[in-house]
Amino acid sequence: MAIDQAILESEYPGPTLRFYGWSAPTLSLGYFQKLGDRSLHAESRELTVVRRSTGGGAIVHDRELTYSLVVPLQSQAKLFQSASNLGAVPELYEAVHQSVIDALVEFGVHATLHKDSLAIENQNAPIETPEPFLCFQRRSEWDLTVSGYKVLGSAQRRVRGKILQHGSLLLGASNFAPQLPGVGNFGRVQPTPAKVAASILNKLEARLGVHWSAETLSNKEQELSTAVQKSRFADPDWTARR
Amino acid sequence: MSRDEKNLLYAESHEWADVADVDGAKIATIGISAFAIEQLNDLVYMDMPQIGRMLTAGEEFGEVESVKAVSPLYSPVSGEIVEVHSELADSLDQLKDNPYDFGWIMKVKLSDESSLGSLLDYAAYKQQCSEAG
Repeated sequence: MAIDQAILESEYPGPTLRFYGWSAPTLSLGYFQKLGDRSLHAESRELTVVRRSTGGGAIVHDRELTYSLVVPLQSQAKLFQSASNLGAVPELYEAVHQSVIDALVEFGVHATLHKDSLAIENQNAPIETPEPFLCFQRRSEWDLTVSGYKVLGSAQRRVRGKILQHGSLLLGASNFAPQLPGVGNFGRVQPTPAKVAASILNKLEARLGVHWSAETLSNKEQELSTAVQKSRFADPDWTARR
Repeated sequence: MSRDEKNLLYAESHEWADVADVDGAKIATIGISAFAIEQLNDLVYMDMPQIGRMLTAGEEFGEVESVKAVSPLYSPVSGEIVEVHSELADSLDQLKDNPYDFGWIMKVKLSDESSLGSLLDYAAYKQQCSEAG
């Protein structure tokens, strides 16, 4: 996540997409969540915890695929021409989540946007307060669901003219969150992180109108990510700030 | 006394400033505009700044979480934060109805008035908002 932040803060002019896994099962808190609230979820209590820079609910990163997408809005001006300079950019949620829907079809999984799976009258139902601790027990219109279960959730962070979108695609149920099935529980082909990532990358290339090329971090991004890791994600005060 | 949005100054990043003379010092009361609140759509959290912090115009002083996005707040002025609206973070639901009175976020004692020159008046800000759609 420090690398994501470094890319967000760098001067690279084009979109950057990353997929990654976690070296050990980890609980990530939404930016505004309270550390003490992790006691609300017993199964993940022993996991290492980090605080994301994006909002929303907590995620158990275990049998899942994490992605990050940094987009300078000017670089995709045609796609985001209606985007205001405030708050969420729904076009980016739509581009990524529709790409994931298309990718999952290759694994025999038919996912839908939550907003399309609801009757119109239910879409304006009040949000449950307080919202559930876990991201995958919350619902918002751009979430992907399969058979009513949320399998993909994303969140955005804005800085001047740029946007970071983080997301997590559940591939299977984790022992640390057994109540949350992943796409592997619904398809006919067991999805591996690499295969799912490759398919999403292709679909998203078409939707964003970009051509991805594999790149390594610049020296400046590397230095910045090391500094961000030290000052935020690896700093216990950052994790416990709320 | 209710604040008139037509008499405020605005940053392009949608924060408003109400500058007044208080005991010989220039104090700017800062908030976010009704347009911004509407665009952000259902604010759920706000990070409040610390009293005593020195800010430079354009510097990030807080963050808000709205539906599906965390967005920064930028100071329209330079100076020292001398007061923070401590009730606001727990009453964000009232912000939409009262962005210019109850919705104030902080008061800043200006260290440098030059930054005021780059702020927009009401007419110019409205024009910016209408162009943003």
